[in-house]
Amino acid sequence: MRLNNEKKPAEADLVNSILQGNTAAFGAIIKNTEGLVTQIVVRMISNPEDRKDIIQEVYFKAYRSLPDFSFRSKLSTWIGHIAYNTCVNCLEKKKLVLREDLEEGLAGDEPEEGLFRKALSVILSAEIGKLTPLYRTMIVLYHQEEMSYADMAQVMDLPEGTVKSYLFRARQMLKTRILAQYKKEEL
Amino acid sequence: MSTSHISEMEIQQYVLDKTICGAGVVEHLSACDACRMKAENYLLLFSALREADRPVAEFDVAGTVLAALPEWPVLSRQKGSIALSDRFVYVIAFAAFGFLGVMVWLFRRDLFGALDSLTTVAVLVLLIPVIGVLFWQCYDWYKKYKNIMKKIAFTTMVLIGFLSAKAGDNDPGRDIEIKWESFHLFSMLLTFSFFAVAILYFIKMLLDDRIKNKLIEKGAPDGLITQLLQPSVKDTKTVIVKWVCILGSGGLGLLLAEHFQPLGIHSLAIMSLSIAAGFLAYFFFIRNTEKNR
Repeated sequence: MRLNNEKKPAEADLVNSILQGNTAAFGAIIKNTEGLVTQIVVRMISNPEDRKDIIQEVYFKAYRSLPDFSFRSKLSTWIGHIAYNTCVNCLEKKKLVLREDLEEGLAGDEPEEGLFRKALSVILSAEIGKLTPLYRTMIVLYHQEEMSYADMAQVMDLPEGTVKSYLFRARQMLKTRILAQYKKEEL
Repeated sequence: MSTSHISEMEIQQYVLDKTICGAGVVEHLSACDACRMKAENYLLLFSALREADRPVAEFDVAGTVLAALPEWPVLSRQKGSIALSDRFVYVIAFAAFGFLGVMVWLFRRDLFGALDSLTTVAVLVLLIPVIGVLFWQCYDWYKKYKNIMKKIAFTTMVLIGFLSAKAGDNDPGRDIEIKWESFHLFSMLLTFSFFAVAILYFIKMLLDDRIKNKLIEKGAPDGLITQLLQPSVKDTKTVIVKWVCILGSGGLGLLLAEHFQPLGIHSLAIMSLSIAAGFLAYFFFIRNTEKNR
C-alpha cells in the first residue's frame, strides 16, 4: 500500500521534544528514516567510502534545519529530500552524471519470453546497478520504500508528472535489459 | 476487442493497479498472449523488486550521529514569538545604533569644539557629500535586503522618536541656542554615520554568511549558492565604479568650492551639482552594464 500524506501527531511531539533540547529523541527519527536515507544514498552514490560521510551529513543538516521544518510534508519525506539534495551536490562536485541514457533501451517489439525467478534476483541486482542514479533511486523509492508519486516528487523536487514519466521509462528499461541479459545467459 | 496491442504504460498500470484500468485494457489482456506475457514479466519484476534485499548502513547511524551532535539551545515554535533570525537582526541593529549614540555622547564636547571653528557654509559643504554617500549606500542595501532593512529603519525611527521626545523637555526660552546646538548635533551624527556605514557593512557580511549557511543546510546546489552570494567580477566592478563616482564627484566638488573662495551659497550649489553629476555617471554606467548583460 502506498504511504499516504497523513501527518502523524507523534512526529510533531518528537520534533518539539528535540527542539526543547532532548537530542536523544533525534535517535528515534534516525531509526525511522535510516532505511530510506540509506536507500537513497546507496542508489545515488556508487563510491562506498563516500556513503558513510553523506549519511551523517544528511542527519546533521536535518538536525540543524529542524526548527524550520513546517510539517508541510512527512518528516521522512523532508529528510529524504535533504538526502537526495546532498547526493546531487556530491555528484555535481565530482562532476558525475545524474541523468545519462534516459532514452536508452526502451521497449522493443520482439516477443517476450517469461522471466524466471531463479535467475531474476541475480540479474535484477546487477541491472539496477547499471541504471542511472536517478532511475535507480526512483525504482527503489517506489517499489521498495512504497513511496507515493507525490512524496517522490517532494523528495526529488520534480513535478509529479515527470516522476511518473521517468518511473515508467525506468521500469521499461529495467525489464528490457533484464530480458536481454537473461537471453544472453541462456545462450 | 481491439486488434492493436495496448501500450507499455497501460500494461504497467494494469500490473500496478488494475482497478483504474479501462475495460478495453482488461479485455485485451485476457485475450492477447503477447501483452499478457509482458504483464506477467512486469508482475515478476515488481515482485522481485519488492523482495530484493534493502541496503543497510554499514555503521551505527544513530550512535555515530548522536555522538557528534552539538548541544542545542531550547528553541520555541510558538506563534507570535520572534524568530531567532529576527532577534538577531534586532540585537545587531540596537547594538549598532546604541554604540553610535554612546560615542556621540562621550565625545560631544570635542566634536562641538571642532565644528565651532567651521562656518555654517563649510559645514554644509561637508554635509552634502556625506548625505549623498549615505543615501547612495543605503539605497543599494535597501534594494538587496529590503525586508531586513525595514526592521532596521523601524528601529532607527524608534530611537529618533525617543531622542525627539527628550529634546522636547528643554526650556522653550532657549530656542535659538538649541537650534544651533541641534544643527551641530545633526552634523556630528552624520559624520558618525560613516561609522554606522561600517557597522552596516559588517551586518551585511553577517547576513550573507547566515543566508549561505541556511542554503547549505537546506541542501541547495552549490552552483546556486555561488550564483546568489558570491560577488561576480561584474559586481565587484560595479562597486568600484560606484565608489569612483562617489569619491570623484565629492572630491571635485570640494576642489571647485575651494577654488571659488570665499565659501557661499554658490559653494553649496557646486557641491550639489558635483554629487548629482556623480549619480548621473553611475546611472549611465549601470544602464549600460544592464544592456550588455
